Amino acid sequence: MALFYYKTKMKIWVKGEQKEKIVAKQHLQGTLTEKDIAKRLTKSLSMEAPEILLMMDELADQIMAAVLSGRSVKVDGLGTFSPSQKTHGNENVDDVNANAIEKVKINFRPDNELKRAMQKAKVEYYEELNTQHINK
Amino acid sequence: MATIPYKIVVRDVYVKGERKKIYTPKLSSAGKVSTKSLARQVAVESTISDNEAKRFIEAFVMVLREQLADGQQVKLNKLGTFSPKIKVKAVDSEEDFSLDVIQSKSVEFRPSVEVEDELKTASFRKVNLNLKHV
Repeated sequence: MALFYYKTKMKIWVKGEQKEKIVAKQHLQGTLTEKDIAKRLTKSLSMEAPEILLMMDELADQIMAAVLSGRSVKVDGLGTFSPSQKTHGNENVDDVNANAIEKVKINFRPDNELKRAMQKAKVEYYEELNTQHINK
Repeated sequence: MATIPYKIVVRDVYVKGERKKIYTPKLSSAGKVSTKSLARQVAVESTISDNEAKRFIEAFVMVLREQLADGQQVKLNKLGTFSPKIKVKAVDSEEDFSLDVIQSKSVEFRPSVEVEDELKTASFRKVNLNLKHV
């Protein structure tokens, strides 16, 4: 398996002028669900799938609890989750308070191990899609 | 209830050529949670040992990494979806198209609706730090 991509035409604005360009788009190979992961892990962990599913929920709960208390969470081999914000400013410092925080977001930064795995990933054309998209 | 600390920072902005000082709140880090303490916390809340929780996280992360590098996205109900992502360069014609248009490969994370809803419940506390210029 590999990262598959296809060619497609796209209209892009360049210096006020619309130009047609050729770009590569990614074709996802499918979606792995929690159930799939649990099934895979039953042998290596000697645990039942329902127990593994509960642990995945617990992991998510712990990551969220940390993020909501302003901490970042490093999961070795995957990356770091941390809180970030969307705010608006004010010219008067006395008028600035938590109400100026419009939204809290969760930020994910892949760690080096994941980055390396992605850089090593093979990339291949998805020929069937190439023809369909380019002829549209 | 847990709160996220924030401080106030000041930045210079130019409005119609005039320099102005704008004050904004900025989330401040309350510390870092390592994989080891994350595993310990998962163990406390489940019925497993610290070591089992650690082994679970390692095995789980390995599956995620393998699948992402294989071009699959991984959907976790509570947390969100991880997807492989390619960064590409647009070219003028099909003749110019080659593998070189792919500049980098990485992973993108999209939080679940549940996570987005939880983030809306965040509450904050101001920390007394000296005003920082950013």
